[in-house]
Amino acid sequence: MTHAGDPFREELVALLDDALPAEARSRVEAHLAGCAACRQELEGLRRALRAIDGLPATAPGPGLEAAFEARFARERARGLRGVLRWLARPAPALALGGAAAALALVLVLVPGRGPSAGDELAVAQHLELVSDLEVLEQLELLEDLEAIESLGEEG
Amino acid sequence: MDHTEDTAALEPDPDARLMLAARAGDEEAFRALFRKHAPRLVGYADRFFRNRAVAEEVVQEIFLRVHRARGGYEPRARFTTWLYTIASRVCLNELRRRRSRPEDGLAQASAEAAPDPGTIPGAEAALAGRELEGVVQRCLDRLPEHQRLALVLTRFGEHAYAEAGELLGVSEAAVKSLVFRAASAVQQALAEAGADVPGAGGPR
Ligand SMILES: [Zn+2]
Repeated sequence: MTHAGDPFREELVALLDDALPAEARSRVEAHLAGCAACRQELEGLRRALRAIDGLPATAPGPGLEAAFEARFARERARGLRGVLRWLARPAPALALGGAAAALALVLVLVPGRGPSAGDELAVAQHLELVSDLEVLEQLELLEDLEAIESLGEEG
Repeated sequence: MDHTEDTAALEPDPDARLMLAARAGDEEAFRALFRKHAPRLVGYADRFFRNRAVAEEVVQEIFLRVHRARGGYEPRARFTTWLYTIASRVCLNELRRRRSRPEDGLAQASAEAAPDPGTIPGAEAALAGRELEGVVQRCLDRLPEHQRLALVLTRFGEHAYAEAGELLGVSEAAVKSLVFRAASAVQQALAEAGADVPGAGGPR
C-alpha cells in the first residue's frame, strides 16, 4: 500500500470521520500501526478537524422568535387563500399526478397576492425546488386537500 | 457533536414526541421545537451564508417547511436527522438561488468583507484562541465551494458522507475527497500560522 500520496490521506480523514467500511478500516489501521509518518499525518488531520469543530457558532439576534411568529401567521393565512382559489378553479389540477399536481398547486398559490413581490420571487424559486423537495410538496398538496374537506365542516 | 449512530434511537426522543404532537395540530408543540432548535440552526445556516441576517431568514424558511411537511413525519430516525435533512436542502437551494442572482449574492461578499478576527487586539490568552479561530475561519471562507459545503454538511450538519453526496449531487467517494481536501487545507493553514490546537495533546 502506498501511503505518502493523497489517496491514502483521504482514507485517514475518512477514518477520523468514522466513515470507512470495516475492511478498509482495518487495512488503514494495520498500516498505521507500522508507519510513524502516517500516524503523524493522522494527528495533523485530527487537529485540523478539531479546530474546525471548535469554531464558534453564530447565535441568533433577539428578534428571531417574533419574526418567525409573524411569518408563521402569514403562512397560515396564505395557505387558506390558496385553498379558496384552488376550490374556485376548474378541475384539471386533480387529474395531474404526483409532482405535477404539487407544481400546479404551487402555481395556484403564487397569485395569492402575498405581502411583497419578494414572496412571488420566492415562490417562483419553489418551482425550482420541486424536484429536490418533491416529497415535501406532495405532502403539502395532501394537507391542502384535507383542509378543503375540513372547510366543508366549517361552512 | 457526533452524528448518526448513538444509542439515542433506543430511548424515547422528546423531540419526536413534540413533532408527533405538531403533526396532530398542536402548534405549541411546534413552537417548542422552534425555540429549542432554531438557535443552533442559525449557527448552522450561518456556516453556509456567513451572514446572520440571511441565516435567520433561512431558518424561518426551514421551519415553515417543517410545518408544511409535518403530515409526513414518522419517528423512524432521530428528529434532528429529519430536521437537518430539511435544513440542509433549504440552505443549499437558497445558496444556489443567491448565486444565480448576483444582486442577492451576499454570501461571497460578506465572507470577504467580514472583519478579520485575527487582527482584533485583546488579552494574550484569549487572543491565542481567537487567532486560531481566525486562521481556520479564513481558510474555510476561501475554500472552493464544494469543499466548503462538503465540510459544512458532514461536520456541522450531522450528515454521513453518503447523505452529503446525495445533497450535493456527487458520489460518496467524491465527498470523501472533498472533505479530505478541505481538512488538508486547514491543516496547512494551521501549520503556516504556527498554530497548535489547545488540548490536542500531541507531543510538542
Ligand atoms: Zn504510512
